[in-house]
Amino acid sequence: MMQCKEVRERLGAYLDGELDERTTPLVAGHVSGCTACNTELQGLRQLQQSLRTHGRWSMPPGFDAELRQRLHDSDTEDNPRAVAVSSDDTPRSNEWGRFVAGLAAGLVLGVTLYLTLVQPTLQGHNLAGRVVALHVQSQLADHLVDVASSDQHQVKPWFQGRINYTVPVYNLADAGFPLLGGRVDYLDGRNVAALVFRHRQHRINLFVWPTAGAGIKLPASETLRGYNLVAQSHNGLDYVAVSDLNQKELETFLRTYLTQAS
Amino acid sequence: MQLILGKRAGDAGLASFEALVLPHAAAAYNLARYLMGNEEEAKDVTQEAFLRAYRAFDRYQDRNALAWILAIVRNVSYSALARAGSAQQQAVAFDEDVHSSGESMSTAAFGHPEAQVDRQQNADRVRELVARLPLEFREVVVLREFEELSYKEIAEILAIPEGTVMSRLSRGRSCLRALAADEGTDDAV
Repeated sequence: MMQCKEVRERLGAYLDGELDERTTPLVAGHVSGCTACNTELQGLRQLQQSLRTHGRWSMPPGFDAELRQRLHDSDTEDNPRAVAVSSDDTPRSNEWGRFVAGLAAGLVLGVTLYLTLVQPTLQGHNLAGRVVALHVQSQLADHLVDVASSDQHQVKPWFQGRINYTVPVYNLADAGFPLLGGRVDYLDGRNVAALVFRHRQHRINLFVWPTAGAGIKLPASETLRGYNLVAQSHNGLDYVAVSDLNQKELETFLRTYLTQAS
Repeated sequence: MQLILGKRAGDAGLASFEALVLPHAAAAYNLARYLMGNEEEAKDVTQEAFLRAYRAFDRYQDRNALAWILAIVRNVSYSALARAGSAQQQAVAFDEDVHSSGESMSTAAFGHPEAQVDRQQNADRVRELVARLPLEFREVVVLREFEELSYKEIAEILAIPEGTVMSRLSRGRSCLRALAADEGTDDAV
């Protein structure tokens, strides 16, 4: 039997799920029978909750864009300089170097102009762009979920009557993706199901709709305006996951979800 | 011609950097904000960290992008703090920063726990408590409580053993609860 002192030293790690398989049940057993240690654990839990709810500093408005711009600037200013340095051998190659530098700079400018001017209008017409827009909107409008529940048995029936197909709903909390709830969005003239998950501080929107014709008209993965998309057709449904979470973890998420769905 | 090809590779590099690392900007800023103690320096540190990360991106080998950028933020922060003076002075500077910018905690809210405290006041109070932690405890608390990193990941970022992460985190949490109790807000924090 573990003593209170030993338990107290491990309560934080217990709360964090960082104790080994042998110690975890010992602490759990003690806490369930000891009021003082249990109170202590609740205190830690409350602290954690309070920090997570209120403590995070969010980025100042516009900082994300500023950061992005700085990266692009550093990208464009570094390379022509490299050309100038590498072409110092002879006056002739220096001329050539300047020409190449100019060409490179022109290319960069062209690409930047294309990205800033042309691409957004193209995005407005494609499916990925519209899905990202829904994802962004769900965060901005503070309208993440219509039904807030981590219980798949509550979210799944909620969709009935709101959309005309059945959506498999799973809570992937064990895999680190707790279900936050569901929502109905309007996309291309029909209602589609959106399931919302969390991974660390990231939100994931998982859109699900029936596969039409030859299947999903999206690349398997794509990055758009800093958001990642992962898409796959599975058992007659198209699944599109969107998040600011990195591509790799988002792929893991969709793979885990589809494993459940099969 | 090679150079232009190199440039193209650079574009692809930036795109994958944006996809892999940039999504962690919010986490990076939060850590920088807690380490530096004010918005301006936190922005500078975050930008510097991302520029450094991007320059080193060709050496990045499929590691945990979040842990990687946070380790860089921490390095840049420590360099900046060392330039500015000791961490102790910085803690004092933080208090002045908070109070002079009108973000200070509402004393009325502390005096009357039953009073309705709005979200902003809660945020101010919680952040102030974390800011009062000594740097070595503050960073483990931020990495664990906000980014939900594992002890192993935190140990790698801080280059200390996992056991030390556990004990620092434990002491950091005890400190926070003691500070909250001093403020008479124990039941809220």
